[in-house]
Amino acid sequence: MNKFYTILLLLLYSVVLRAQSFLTITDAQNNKELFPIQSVADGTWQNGSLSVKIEAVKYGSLSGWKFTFSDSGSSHRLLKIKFRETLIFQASMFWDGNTEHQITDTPICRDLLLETFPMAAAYNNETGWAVSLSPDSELSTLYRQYSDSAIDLDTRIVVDKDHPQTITVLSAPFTPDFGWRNAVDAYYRAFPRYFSPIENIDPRIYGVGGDHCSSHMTRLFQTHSARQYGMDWEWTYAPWYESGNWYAVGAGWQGDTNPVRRYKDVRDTSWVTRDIFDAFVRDEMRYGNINTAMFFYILVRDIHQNLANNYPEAVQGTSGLPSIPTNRGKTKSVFAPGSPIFDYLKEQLRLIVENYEVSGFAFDMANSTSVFNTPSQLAYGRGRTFDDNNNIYTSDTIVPIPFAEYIHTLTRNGKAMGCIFNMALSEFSPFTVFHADAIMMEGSPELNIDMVLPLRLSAGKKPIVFWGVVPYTANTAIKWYRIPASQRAAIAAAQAKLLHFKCLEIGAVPKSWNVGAIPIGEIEILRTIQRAGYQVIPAVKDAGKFWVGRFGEGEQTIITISNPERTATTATLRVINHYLGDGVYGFIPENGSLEQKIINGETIFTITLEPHTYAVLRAVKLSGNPENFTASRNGNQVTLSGNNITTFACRKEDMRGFFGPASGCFTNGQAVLTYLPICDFDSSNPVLTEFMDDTNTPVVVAPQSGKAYDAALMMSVYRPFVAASIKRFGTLRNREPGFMDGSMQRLELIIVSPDQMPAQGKKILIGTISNFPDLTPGANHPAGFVKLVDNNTLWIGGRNENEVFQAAMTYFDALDKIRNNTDNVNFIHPVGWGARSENFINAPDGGKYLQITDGPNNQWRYVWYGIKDLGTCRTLSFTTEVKTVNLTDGRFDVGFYEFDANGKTVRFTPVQIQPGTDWQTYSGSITLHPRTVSVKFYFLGRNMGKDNKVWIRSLVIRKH
Amino acid sequence: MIMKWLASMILLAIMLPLGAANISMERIFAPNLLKNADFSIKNTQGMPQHWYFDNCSKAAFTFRSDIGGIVIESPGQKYGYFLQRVQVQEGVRYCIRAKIRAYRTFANIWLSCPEYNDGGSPFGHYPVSQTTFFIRAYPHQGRSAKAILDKFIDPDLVSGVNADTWTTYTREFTPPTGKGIKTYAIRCGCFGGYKGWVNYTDVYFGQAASNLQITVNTNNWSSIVIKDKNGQEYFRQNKTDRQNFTVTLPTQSVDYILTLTLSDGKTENYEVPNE
Repeated sequence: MNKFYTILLLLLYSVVLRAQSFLTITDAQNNKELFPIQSVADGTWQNGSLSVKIEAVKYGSLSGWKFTFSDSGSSHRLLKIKFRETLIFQASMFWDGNTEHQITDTPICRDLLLETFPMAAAYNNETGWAVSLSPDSELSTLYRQYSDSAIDLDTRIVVDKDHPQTITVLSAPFTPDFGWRNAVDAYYRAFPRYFSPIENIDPRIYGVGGDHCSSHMTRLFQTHSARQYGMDWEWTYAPWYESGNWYAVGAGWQGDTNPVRRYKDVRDTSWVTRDIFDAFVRDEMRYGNINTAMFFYILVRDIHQNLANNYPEAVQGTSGLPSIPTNRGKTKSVFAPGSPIFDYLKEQLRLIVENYEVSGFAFDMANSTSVFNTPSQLAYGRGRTFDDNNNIYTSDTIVPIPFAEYIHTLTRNGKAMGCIFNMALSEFSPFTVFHADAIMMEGSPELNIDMVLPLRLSAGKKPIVFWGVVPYTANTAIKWYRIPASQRAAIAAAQAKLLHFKCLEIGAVPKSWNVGAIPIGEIEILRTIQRAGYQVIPAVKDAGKFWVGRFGEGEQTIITISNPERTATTATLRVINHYLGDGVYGFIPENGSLEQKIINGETIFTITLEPHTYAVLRAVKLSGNPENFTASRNGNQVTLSGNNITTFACRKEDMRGFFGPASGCFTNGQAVLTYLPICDFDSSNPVLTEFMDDTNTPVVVAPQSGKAYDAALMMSVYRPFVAASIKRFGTLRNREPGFMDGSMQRLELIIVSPDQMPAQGKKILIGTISNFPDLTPGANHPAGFVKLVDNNTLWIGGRNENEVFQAAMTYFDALDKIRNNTDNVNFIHPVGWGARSENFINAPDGGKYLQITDGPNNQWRYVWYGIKDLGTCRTLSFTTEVKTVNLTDGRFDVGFYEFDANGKTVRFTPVQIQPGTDWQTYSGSITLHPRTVSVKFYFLGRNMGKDNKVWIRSLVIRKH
Repeated sequence: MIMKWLASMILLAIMLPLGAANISMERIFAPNLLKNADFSIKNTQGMPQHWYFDNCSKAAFTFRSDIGGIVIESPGQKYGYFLQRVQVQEGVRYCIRAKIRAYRTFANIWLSCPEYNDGGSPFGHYPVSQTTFFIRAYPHQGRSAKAILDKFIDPDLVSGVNADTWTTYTREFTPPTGKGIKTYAIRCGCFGGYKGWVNYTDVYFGQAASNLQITVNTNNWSSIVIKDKNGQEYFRQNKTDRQNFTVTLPTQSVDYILTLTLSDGKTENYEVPNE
């Protein structure tokens, strides 16, 4: 049958002939069918004290019915509800909200509400029908089935005179171009507010989540750790001493002092007064907020007994979920809604928003792991159900919903408060996800791969973060006992790759601890696709073995294509243009060239991906009537060419930190787009970065509040952070500021306001163009500029505070890079040396000298220092200070030894030391041999005489 | 499926020489310290003899044996285990191994030492406990997980419990010395999860070391080498007058390959039996 007429018929059928929908209501207490409603239609049905009101509803393209069940009797009515939609076409496929089934043997059923989108859809190649529950239908049970050409939804609800129950069922046809996905897309369009974060939420929620692992003494250090790991929001694990008394210094304060975790360092718990506790949390949120949105951690169904025992109607025994050790054995399982404790807890939340710099709340364990049968859940009257013995209960995953509804009424400085729900690794309810603003899955997709797609479907365009860190040893499918320690890194890398590709496919980000395992350069792509918004319909046909994701709309569209296979894979893809929006679309690759044909509203191209590689394509909207189109990227230029094209429009920013024109014209069949860095900053110019080398002490000039001031604080603490990080970890990059020496945290650079700008000396200005109106600003780039005003003045600026802050972060990243490439080799705590401890002798200045002295037999004497992390570096240079104490015989050299992949010497490039009584500075550089994979710096004495000695007091290695 | 079968046959052809095998092997494991390891012997109440059911959640579990081993049916989100205690020696390496099937309910083997807890992680985090630990088998880390992990990780290193076929789980450990350790409690059961079931059989608990008896069925050989798949060597024997050897293999946690080099320089690889 012609598809058009089939759909027309189905639409007519859905509007006019609703006789095929059935509703059956059974009283569970006597197993008596109360009324079968053979033909669902508007009206009110009455049976004794029970009434059912039926109203036709329409949301977007979806029509259905709102059923309101009420009972005027004095007891609870336990009702089994069955909705049945019979189909007038032969379906070949059934999607149960989680899994797609070929219809062979029936019935096909799914008895789980959890880990499942609240929809069931049956379809064939041309026609489909979906039955779903509206997002506001809070249920604790759901059973769905396909049999006898009918879709059934069954649930159990509890009604009483105070709590009528409403269930809205949508039942509508769809065109299954992409199977069930078309039905879900229609659902998204019908209920958009459930599939995006609340308006005016902190936009950092779209980024990487994580833990600071910090302490009260390292609050400013953590700003640089967060920057290095690209962390955008923090879940602030348990910033209270007693669960439920979350606003710790409020009415619930107990005694004189209480324990606060992570005070002196990350392992410390100190007992502090109310004022100190308040200062602790205030600082945690204030300084954390500098570059991470702070989501205040709560676990709403685990409440300390000091509070919970006052509300016995809400308590269901001891909870096994204490978040902090001091709460162990002292917390209760609490169903707060329906009890006055809910009002107490809401006030706690309000006070937190009022007093601390938070962006919302992070809910731990918002999934379902148990059920409540407390009086409070009876009184709450939403989401109640009953078991086979007619015991009434409510799933614990209902509890976060009213909390989220309340939190969404709160604002701070105009910012709407958001909710991040941890859905653990199993048993999430879609109805709870609908009330979140972002979702955490407490591990990698591989830990419950069947849950990942339903979770993404339930979240819609909301951000998702995959928690944990590779290697995911919690994956019981991996035979860890057969994997030797030497192979763990390879397994971790493979798990990171899987995680990365799933993030690209569904639009998600990893936890900050996996930034690195997934290169930080790739993370911005993941942020960008999350912000663009997940599209359930990929719009791509014939993708074969590729994993494909589509994000955004129109010319803002991004398509990701990953090859998870172990072999190179080629496919000719067809992108169905109308799913992107009106008009014709081509695609711009991030690298290389992509030839495309545009035929009948489809853009067709062939792509080959090497094993475990991926491509990201940006859409470009083309006006005219093109048949051929090619997009090529060469360095910072993109060339678009094709026939019959007059204009183009595309994303302004690419995926690699550059920006170009968002629209333009074709000339002679071509348009050339030039891309510039989003921050106007030449990081290769040492004059700009030398302001913060170890020889300068610039004054920082910045306004005394706002994001420019925050950047100034980070500038002032940058070098102490570097020193503390190297002291603790031997490297600049670290993610655990709480392990660093907090006593080293200090503001080493003076910060003054613009009106106190000193006339003399080095200074770094941090602020907007209005902060420094007399100066000529840098270029207008989206992430501000870093500009040399004069030889003594550097300006980190922008048109607004956000640009200033982004420019400062770019500047810090450049400082990191320079310092990572400069190794001031440590003689005091020598690491990475091929030397004996006795080679390092006490020096008169309190430091250490490296001493090389001859033995009895005029042998060769040497020590070496291994160069760490060559990376992409191909040139090395050194500077060392040497003094020959008594060098009378033989020869003493210093220089780089190069080695190949087998550890064999490639070559030695020596610099000979001349005897002399003073300290002498030697330097040199080499370009690495193509075979070189590792390098050691050698101090080598050959046939030195008896009692001959050489001292070395410094060694600096630079990578170029 | 045909391609998979073909690949298996090709692999088998590579692993096994044509004609009569030049090597015969018998692997002799230490005695199983568990009684009624397949749960087949029932007591008068119809429950597996020598096992005690530790109903941690005091829940309405049910039991059956119609598909082999013991099936524990869980009402969902409940915890309960069949328990048996065994005598151990400090400092000796032991192996616990079991075949598991599961449907929706989470399976878990829980080992604990009543006399001493070393404070390590029961979940495999560093430092790994040798006195209290779990061997978990989650159905949500089953077939689907294997299908996707196989694309990224050597498929030989991935299994994944499911409801249809047995999956073997193994773990080795060494009771610390000088702590007065005498017994371990071994529990096989349910660790939460959905309403469903878990199924156990052939639970083995014994010393990890095993003996391999090797008979060389040809005189035309020059050496025998046993390595694991990571290349670590466990045994090497050059040609002697003897044709029979007994090798002690220290662990059951690796797959061993015996390589026989013939006099003409050709080599033959044999998989050492691992059960």
